[in-house]
Amino acid sequence: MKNRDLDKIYQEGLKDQQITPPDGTWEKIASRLPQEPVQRRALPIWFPLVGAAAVLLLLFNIYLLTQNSTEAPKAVTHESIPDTRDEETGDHPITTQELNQTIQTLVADFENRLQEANKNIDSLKQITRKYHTLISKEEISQLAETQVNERKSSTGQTPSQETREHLTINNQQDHVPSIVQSVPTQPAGAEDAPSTPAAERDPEQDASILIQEPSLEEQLAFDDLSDKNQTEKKNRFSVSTRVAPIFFETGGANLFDQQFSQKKATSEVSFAYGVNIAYNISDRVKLRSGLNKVEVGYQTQEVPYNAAVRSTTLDATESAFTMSSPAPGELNQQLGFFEIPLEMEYVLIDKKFEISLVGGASSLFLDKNNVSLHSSVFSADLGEANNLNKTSFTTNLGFGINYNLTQELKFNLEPMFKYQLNTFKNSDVNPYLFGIYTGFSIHF
Amino acid sequence: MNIKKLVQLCKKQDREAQEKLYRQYSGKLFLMCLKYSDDQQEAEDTLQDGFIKIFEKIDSYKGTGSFEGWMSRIMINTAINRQKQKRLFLTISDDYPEVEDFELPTESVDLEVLLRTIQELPLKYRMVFNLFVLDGYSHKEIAAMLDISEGTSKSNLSRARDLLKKKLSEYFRDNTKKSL
Repeated sequence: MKNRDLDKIYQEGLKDQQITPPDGTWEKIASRLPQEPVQRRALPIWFPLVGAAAVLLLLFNIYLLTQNSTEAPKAVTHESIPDTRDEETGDHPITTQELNQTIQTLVADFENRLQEANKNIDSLKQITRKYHTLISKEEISQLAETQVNERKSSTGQTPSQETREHLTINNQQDHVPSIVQSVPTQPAGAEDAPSTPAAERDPEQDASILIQEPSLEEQLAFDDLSDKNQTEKKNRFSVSTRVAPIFFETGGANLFDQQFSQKKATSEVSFAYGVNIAYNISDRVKLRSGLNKVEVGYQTQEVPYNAAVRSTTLDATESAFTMSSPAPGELNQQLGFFEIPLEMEYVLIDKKFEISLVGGASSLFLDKNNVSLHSSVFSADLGEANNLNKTSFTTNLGFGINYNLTQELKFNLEPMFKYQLNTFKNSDVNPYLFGIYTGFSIHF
Repeated sequence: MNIKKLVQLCKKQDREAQEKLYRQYSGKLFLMCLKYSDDQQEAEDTLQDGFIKIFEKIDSYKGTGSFEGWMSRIMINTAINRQKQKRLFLTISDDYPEVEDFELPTESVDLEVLLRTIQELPLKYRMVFNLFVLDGYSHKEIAAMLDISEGTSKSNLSRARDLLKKKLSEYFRDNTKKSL
């Protein structure tokens, strides 16, 4: 018999064969398997919230109870429970029975509240879904990264702690430590009550189980939810006041007349002021508009002029002559505009200091147009300049530095460059404005 | 329910799915355990240990190879480890008689006989024969699994075959006698 034949007998004989193990084997295996864990699918992202909320509610209720029992013991004992209290031990007025009963009512109350919370949380879930569809995957991964980093940096702060912090209601916040302290100071009799520790402990245990090890995805989604809640609270509108010194540059050309292009011309530092409103399209992008008043002054110096006096006929002479005195003067052009900007602001850094990029355009409506001549001895109003368009536009570029004073109040500093497109009819003149806008913005 | 879905549920430690998986594969795997064990009781213990390992380690199954193959490997390793714990590898004598040659029978051999003859093999021969002939491992792999050299694996296989031939020939001789 060859080896090959032998192998074949065994290979074919055993191929695709089965032998059923004896009954009861599965039961033995099942009994050795670890207890079925709480299924993660049954732990939606909002569950930790409910757990934490429930614990808070319970603590708050216990707090109220202890308040009642210490301040007004009658309030607890007026129910038809035999009054077995020792009057002398006024500090510990609650009996075991009373405590049992109140805890039972508490538990019932807690269950009701839990149901209510579930309903609320369902709607929260829907909101979360909407946000999930709205925000792109990159944003999610960005979010995840920043959050992982935050996790790393915040030492020892577990998700559950955070959750509880999120949930802490302002007016309860002060009470919580006192609740915790007040629980152990229950009367000695109460410690024997079997339901006391159970009622106190179980919800917390449950909550800790629920909060335990949420999967990354769930954690992400949960963090996302809380973040988004903050964003929702984050104010979408803001109104800001602004004032800026304005530097007006003509780029060498003379605005008044080309014949003065060789003359020395200066622009005075003037001011712009106004009110701006902004709307947050997203976390990073704002749409802004507003109304600003811009004043610009421009002087051309050493403009020769003749101050002509009415021709006078002198008695002494037969001929009439004109007295005139040519002298240098300063031609002063004052311009004022109402500016309505439409700008986009993209936030580059969104921290305590916010840095953003601003771009857009403004419509300028001519409001003030005055030309005057000044000299040491003489001043004359020359009327309006006729080389200005009533409506013109600028393109704007700049960046913003915002400092968050509070959630609602920011200090803004924005160096802005505004290039005037068609302010002047002589198209070769395209001056620009540079302003450093400062102000405060209120977010709501 | 397809196997993928079942594995997914088992990864979540779903008890119902675990039982389904057991019901689906316990027959094949029990046969495997019998082959590597001294007797039925040991095979049962191995089967239990093996399934518990499968459920514990199911997260490490990435779905690349066949799931049945993955389970088989766990079962075989469990069986080997059990035998290693018994430390019997060192205690077998090498004294075996020569085997007379005999003709291959035409009829097929009962599963029970095949299993019994394998189980009666001394442990180290049984292991190598199972691994090499029935479960397709190479001598190199076997050497690593059993902490022996490749040469030992080869010589053990040769011994195993000789012994099985002897046992089968005895079986057929008895069978022929009975039928006469």
